Amino acid sequence: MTDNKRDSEELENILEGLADSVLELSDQEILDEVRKSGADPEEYAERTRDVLRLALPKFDRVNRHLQHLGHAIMDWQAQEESYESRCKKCGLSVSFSATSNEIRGEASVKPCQANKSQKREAAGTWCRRDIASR
Amino acid sequence: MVFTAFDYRTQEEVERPPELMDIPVLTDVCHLSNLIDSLRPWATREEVDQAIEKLSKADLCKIRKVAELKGWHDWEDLLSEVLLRALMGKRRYDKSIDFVTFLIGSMRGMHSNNKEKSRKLEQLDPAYDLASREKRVDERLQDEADLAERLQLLGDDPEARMLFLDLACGMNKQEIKLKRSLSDRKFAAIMKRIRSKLSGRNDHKGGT
Repeated sequence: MTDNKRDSEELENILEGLADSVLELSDQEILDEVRKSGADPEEYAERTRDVLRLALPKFDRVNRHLQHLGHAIMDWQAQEESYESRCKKCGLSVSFSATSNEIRGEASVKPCQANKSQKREAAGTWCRRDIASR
Repeated sequence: MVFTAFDYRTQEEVERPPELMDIPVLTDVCHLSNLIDSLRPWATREEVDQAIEKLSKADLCKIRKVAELKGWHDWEDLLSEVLLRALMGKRRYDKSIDFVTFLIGSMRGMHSNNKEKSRKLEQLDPAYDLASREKRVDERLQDEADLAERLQLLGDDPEARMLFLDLACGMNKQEIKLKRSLSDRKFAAIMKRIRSKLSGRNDHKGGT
């Protein structure tokens, strides 16, 4: 092992051990420790919850937009800078950048084609039945 | 419970009494991972939302403290990305796992993936050999300095220094306790002193 790798691994081992020891603390111990470090546990904790909460609207906005266009999206694949997926029904592609919040791809602008043809078929069946019943 | 029926092509072909119709059937071993995946209790968006709201003040402090101790300066981005991946289905949240454990584990994984990615990108750079040699020397000096500085911060506390060096060697809690004949309580007390002395250092400077 090179010296460089060894030093970096040693540092990583220490930080890992320290991080693990935090997970073993009781609720009261962690709150005391945060307080002792000079931070307000309430604010310290809420910042973490805010970060978590902020991710939800991003996800909801993408889903709402695609559902509005009639798409049913497959599991997203994380790429270098974005998430990519396709509509299960019509196959149109879509990508979403979490950093810029931009939605791109044909599925983001065009309505689901499969939905359209299903509606047309349904409408056609109804017309034929309607005419036949007269 | 899962039935195996390798002589059939689909589970619909397998005749079963009505009360067993809900039990999944494996007809091809190639589908095993998909079947296991479909049986895992993945959280929905609403359940992820509930899990966030259920996190206690102490849970939230632990998540942030771990990130700071690890020196993840981009911990907010990491955490946000972890949650987005959980929602997007890239790395879903299995409800049977503790949510704090899931979040921290995913942050660890993502941080090390990011590091690996940037290392690979560097290697693709045509100027990699020369630049990397210089960078390796810089990083080595930086890591050496970081270790020395942290050790110095422990001051004249032989127990803390001893544990610090044991951790550096890659020993885990059980191994250290056994080697040093430490009780759980004693080990925790020394770790607390180490965290306290290093916390300022980790909050402001780089880790790995």
